Amino acid sequence: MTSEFIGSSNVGAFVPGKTIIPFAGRVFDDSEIVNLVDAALDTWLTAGRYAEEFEYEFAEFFGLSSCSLVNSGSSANLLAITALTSPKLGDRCLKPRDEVITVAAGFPTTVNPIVQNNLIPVFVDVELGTYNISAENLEEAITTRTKTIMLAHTLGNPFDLGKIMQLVKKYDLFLIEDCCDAVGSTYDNKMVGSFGDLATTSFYPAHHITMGEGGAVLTDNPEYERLVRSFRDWGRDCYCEPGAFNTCGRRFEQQHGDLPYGYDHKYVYSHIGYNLKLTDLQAAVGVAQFKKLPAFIEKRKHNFQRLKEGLKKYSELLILPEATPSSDPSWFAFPITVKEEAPFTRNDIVGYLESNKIMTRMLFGGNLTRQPAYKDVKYRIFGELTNTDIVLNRNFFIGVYPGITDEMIDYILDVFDNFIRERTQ
Amino acid sequence: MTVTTGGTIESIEKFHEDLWMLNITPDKMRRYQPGQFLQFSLDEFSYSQPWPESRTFSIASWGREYMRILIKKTGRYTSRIFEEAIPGKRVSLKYPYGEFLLSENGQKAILCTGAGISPFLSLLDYLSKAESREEVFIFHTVPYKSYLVELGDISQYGNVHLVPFVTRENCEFPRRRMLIDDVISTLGDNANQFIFYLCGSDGFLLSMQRELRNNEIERIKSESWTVFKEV
Repeated sequence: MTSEFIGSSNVGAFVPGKTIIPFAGRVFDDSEIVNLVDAALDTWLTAGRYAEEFEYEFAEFFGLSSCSLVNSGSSANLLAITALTSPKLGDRCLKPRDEVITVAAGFPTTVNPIVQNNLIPVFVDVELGTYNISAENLEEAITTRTKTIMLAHTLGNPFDLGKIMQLVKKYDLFLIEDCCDAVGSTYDNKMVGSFGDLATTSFYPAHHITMGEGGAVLTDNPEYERLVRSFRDWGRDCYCEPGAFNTCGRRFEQQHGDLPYGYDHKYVYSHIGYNLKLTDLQAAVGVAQFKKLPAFIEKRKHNFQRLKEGLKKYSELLILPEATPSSDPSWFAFPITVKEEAPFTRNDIVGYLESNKIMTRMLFGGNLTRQPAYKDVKYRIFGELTNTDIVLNRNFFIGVYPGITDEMIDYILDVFDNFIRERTQ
Repeated sequence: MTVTTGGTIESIEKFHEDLWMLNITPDKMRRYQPGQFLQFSLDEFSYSQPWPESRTFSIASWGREYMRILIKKTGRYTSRIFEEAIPGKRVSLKYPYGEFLLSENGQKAILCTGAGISPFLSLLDYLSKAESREEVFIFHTVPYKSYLVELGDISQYGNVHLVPFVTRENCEFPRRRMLIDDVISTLGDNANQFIFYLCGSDGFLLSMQRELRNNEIERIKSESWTVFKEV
């Protein structure tokens, strides 16, 4: 019945110049809605069978043993770094004023959790073309206070994991990989997200697969999994799933700190935590989406290649994206930087594209140190953020998501051709 | 990250009137590490309802097509298991849980009592499958010789040495509990090179940890959230 209903809801055809081409969006068929209705009819609502199924499949996709679903990618980042502040990690735990190496050319909630945990972000510049951290002199940014590297694989393009992992091992640092835009990207034929201590993903509609809202923290370390889930689940010591009790077998038989002996383990709190769980309804949508993920990744790569081929004739005016060596990105978007010598500005071309129904976006916060929110934040800058400012002033991106058809790509390239012809005559 | 699944009891090995090994085939087999545990319920579960009454048991196998759990009849629920468990019975499982992980490389000294051998049976499977020559000493105190469930298989594990103590019947093994001197004298001068794993009653854990520390042994792991790392 649900499938019949969905089948009758037709999406209109693409009309060049009239139909908006989004930079991102959900790609659904009836299976997402069938699962959603199925989960709703359970009336269980909180995390249950769909969450369990998704967590297993998604962890397997990365070659990892653990996936913990949460309510957003931002929450995933918060939990990933907060877990590392747990006193249960002993001397290794992150402490206030420890430094975390990251970049300012990115999304705020890759960096905000660092600030929220009283850690010091150390901003390093990025490279144009890859839009990832400049790894060449990165070792000089490391001090005795550096404990963690936390980086996103920008717009799906892996950062230089070879160099980063060398430093991680040499200086015994934690590595958190923000894979919110990079599900399916590989480095040295290995999934990004599987190199560091923890990885995060997002299931907001713009991303590779969506649950509406949602995210995940992945790891291969059961200790980290336990900490992530404790912080996710109110800070509790108990690890029972919803509806279960006495999983540990010692619910009323333990001494926890100064609590009375045998205090119900369900109400023992080891951490100052949150409630960042998600519902089985969201997971149900995710289970259907996950089945489409390989096809989505291939379509993104196809769309990226078509744009790259079509725009490479403008390489004297535009810096086009480059895959990090040894990587195969599952692109989130197609970033473009307008060269300084171009006879137009970023705003000129963005305005033109938008007026021709092609959605564009800035590279998120651009340079976070220039955002109002960061005015009074304590951070350190290593060297100069020259390229980061170029990203802020001259970069934008357009979409490659699977809902963009070849016909739409043809139209996008035509619009670029028209714009550049007009501006260079 | 756990899986909730049904399973079928394939067979039951009865080592003693109050010590059984259940061999269970889960509907969903997932990876787990030696030392982890599961939740076992005699009742079938529904995703729309709270999880039924269940108990915690170490997974006493690794890498097999079925899972083994060692059950000692101690109370109401385990008595119910002894009454109702038969080959072919459908049961419910949730697994894996726990950070009492045994797959770390290095010489191991295992100190356990009674059914506390259970998590280490998964280690023996793991070492066997890995064809490991890692040296392992198992010091095991039991009330009856039949509780030495590992005894029949021990010869197939390359470098594993069993040092049993049987407290309530005469047999070829010493009729008493293990003492710290037994451990130290067996392991010799490099006892502190071993990683010590403890599993048993709380009293046993506390007294053994104290005795080991008195002998300057610091690398001790036991099944407890607050001491899941080396103590």
